[in-house]
Amino acid sequence: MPVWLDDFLWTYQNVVYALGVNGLLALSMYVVLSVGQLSLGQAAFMGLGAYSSALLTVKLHLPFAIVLPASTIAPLLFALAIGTPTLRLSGVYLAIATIGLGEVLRALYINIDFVGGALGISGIPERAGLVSIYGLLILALLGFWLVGRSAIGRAMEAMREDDVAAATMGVNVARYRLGALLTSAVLAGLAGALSAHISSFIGPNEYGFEPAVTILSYALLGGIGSPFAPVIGAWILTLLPEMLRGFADLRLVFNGVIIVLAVLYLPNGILPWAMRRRAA
Amino acid sequence: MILLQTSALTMRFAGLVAVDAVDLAVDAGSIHALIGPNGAGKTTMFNLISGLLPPTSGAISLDGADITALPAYARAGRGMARSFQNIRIFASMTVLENVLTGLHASIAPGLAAILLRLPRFRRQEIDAVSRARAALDLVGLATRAGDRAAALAYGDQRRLEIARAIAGNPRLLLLDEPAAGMNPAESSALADLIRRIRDAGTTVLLVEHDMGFVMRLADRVTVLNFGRRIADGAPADIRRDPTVITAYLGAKVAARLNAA
Amino acid sequence: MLAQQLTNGVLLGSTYALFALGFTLMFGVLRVVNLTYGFYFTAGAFVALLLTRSYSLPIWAALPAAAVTVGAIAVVLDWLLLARLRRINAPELSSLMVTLGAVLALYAAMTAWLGPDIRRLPAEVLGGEAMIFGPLRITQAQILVLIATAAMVTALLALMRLTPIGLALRAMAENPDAAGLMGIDTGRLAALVSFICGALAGAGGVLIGLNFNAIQPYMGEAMMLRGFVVIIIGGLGDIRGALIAGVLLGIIEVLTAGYISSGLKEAVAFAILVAVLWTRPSGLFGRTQTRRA
Repeated sequence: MPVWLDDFLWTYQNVVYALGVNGLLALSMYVVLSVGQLSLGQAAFMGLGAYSSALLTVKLHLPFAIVLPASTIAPLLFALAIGTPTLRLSGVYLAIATIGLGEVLRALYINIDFVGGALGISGIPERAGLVSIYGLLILALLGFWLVGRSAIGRAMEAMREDDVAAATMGVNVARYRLGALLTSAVLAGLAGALSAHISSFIGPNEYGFEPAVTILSYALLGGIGSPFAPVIGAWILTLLPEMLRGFADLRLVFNGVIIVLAVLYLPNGILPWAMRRRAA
Repeated sequence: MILLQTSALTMRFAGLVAVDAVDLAVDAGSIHALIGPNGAGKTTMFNLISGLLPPTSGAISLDGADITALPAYARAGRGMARSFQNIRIFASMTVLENVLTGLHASIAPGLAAILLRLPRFRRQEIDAVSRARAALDLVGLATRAGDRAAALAYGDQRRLEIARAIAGNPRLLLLDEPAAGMNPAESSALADLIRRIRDAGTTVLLVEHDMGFVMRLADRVTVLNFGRRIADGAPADIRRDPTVITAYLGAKVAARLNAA
Repeated sequence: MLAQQLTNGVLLGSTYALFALGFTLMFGVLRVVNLTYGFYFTAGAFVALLLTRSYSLPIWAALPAAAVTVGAIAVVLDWLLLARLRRINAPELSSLMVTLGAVLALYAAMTAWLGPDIRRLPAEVLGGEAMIFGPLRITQAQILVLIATAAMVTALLALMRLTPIGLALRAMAENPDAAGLMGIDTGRLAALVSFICGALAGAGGVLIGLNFNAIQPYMGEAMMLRGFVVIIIGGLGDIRGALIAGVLLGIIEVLTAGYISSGLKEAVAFAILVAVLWTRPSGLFGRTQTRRA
């Protein structure tokens, strides 16, 4: 590694890592929005991934190559339990059922001594790094890009516009919706495991209501025309508070206002590139 | 041979019987029209047949197989396609992509093939594009393939909906008021198109208000009124059927016509 | 012990019912999941705090004043956030997202301005000695909560059943397709419903503030989660269901806290929500049809 890159990484390591992790979180929001649904459980899924992976590392001393994929199990199970009944109903149900999940889990984490209670889990070894974080981000982007430019991508866009018409074209709407939610849970779980293994400490208060809404603001700022847009949205909203440190108190106000403005005035985000498909 | 059959098909909404024990038999290879005054239950019939509504009671079979419990997407997989009375194209997608979406049931994409860009995926896409272009050709929209669907004029959007429905060569095509809002020249071109679709091997069941259109086009006509089937037969017989005339014109007018 | 728990549960649950009532009415009539609703709750508690602390108003005067103030805030927020979406007939998830962003901004702004600390109502507001009824011990604050809740629910039900506008609202809540047929100006209707619901939530905030004597910007957010549980159990848009489910949730929470662990209250409530979604998605008392996609 060249010296200048090494220096740069040493100085800005936290920011560089946060950009990658938040990019994954933005994609986990993107995949649900791109089938016309709204899940607000991303932060909760992330917390489940963070807690389960941290426990596997700290208590069972498992290698990271096992811990990382295992961190997706708990988020997947929760997504199945909530998604299966709600995705057959109107979109309001999934949103309502997931919005509280983070706060419910927070109350649980605080009250279970095995997971560290109010103190959280500390002493997590730093196992994640540039390769695992950006490798997964690039894989995820590539996967969404390839799926987006296929019959599945067309079906997803179609059901986002009109789920009834899509169903009469043979699109199994409920199955795609569940698939999107499970993918979202996997990505958020991975992001949680990665973040736990770069920060050495996780606490019960990091995965509640505020991060859930912040993740939504990433995707809405960028838009969902292509998988790159939400990632760039996440990067903007991660870098801005770094540059405007004086306004740290107002960061959440800003994220909330971004959502309001995006929904009211920029329904396609600031990056309204539609994905060009081969045939198009 | 009967392609589509409904037996005692019934749909009750809170306090209202929209479709009341309707028996319908659509012959394979025919153009069959479903007519009736406003509120007769025609669109509800379509929603029941295409699987958008679960019937209160009764059965639906396609080519002899009971499909009453199948969800809409699975019926599409068995060769059923439809258009909507209020156009439901995917406005933000291109014209060609709309039609490609109509091929979803026959493409059956596998995730592995898509992610690895296997030869099978490429073959399927190329095949799908050529079938979609053929469908656009048939309805006369070939030159608009790359345009956004929202940019099409009303009549073209209706034709796009038909192209999207026929792209996968369905066995049964349901058309909900395809001639609505069309001038005589357009609706006569549409009648030609529907005949060509039938000649290519697709059975057509259509709901239509324009009586002249129906009488010229249909091989067989079923008449609904207040959710019940009141007549069924060849167009010429339906035109003379007193119950049908009464249903359409009201009892008084029918009596005056009879007297005259 | 059990009798005391049940009494506390019913008292707590009646506040949940009051809160959920406005929420479900708003969904039923306006077809929006309005998440700023949780903020109305916080706002109600803070207005009451201001009136009783700085202006030494008695609580029976502060309660209606807070309700009216929050009702007005609700009308303004509805106009700012939702009027445009209604005009362009945006999908239902748009209104959910816009109010979600707004409520985060509002909570965060309040926290930045007033701090995250828990504030308390002046001691004299809470009343004196608790009263003893046989084995039951009931505080004066609890009695006020019960009377106020009963009065507001009765007033709302009377409005819904006896006045022409109330009957129209009820018809619309029960049959959304009827909305367009009623010929009521949607802007005025939205303002009216927002005011009623905002006032209900604001009053709920004052009453919960009295019950627990802990007022803090994010209190509406915790309440919102309970509101969701109540309206899912009761059925979205179902007024009677919200009343029953609210009281039920209050009892369940108090019993969970009393016999298992207070840290599991939220988890138990959430488990019930998921169980209802699996078994009775239209609510325990629901008759509304669920749509097939």
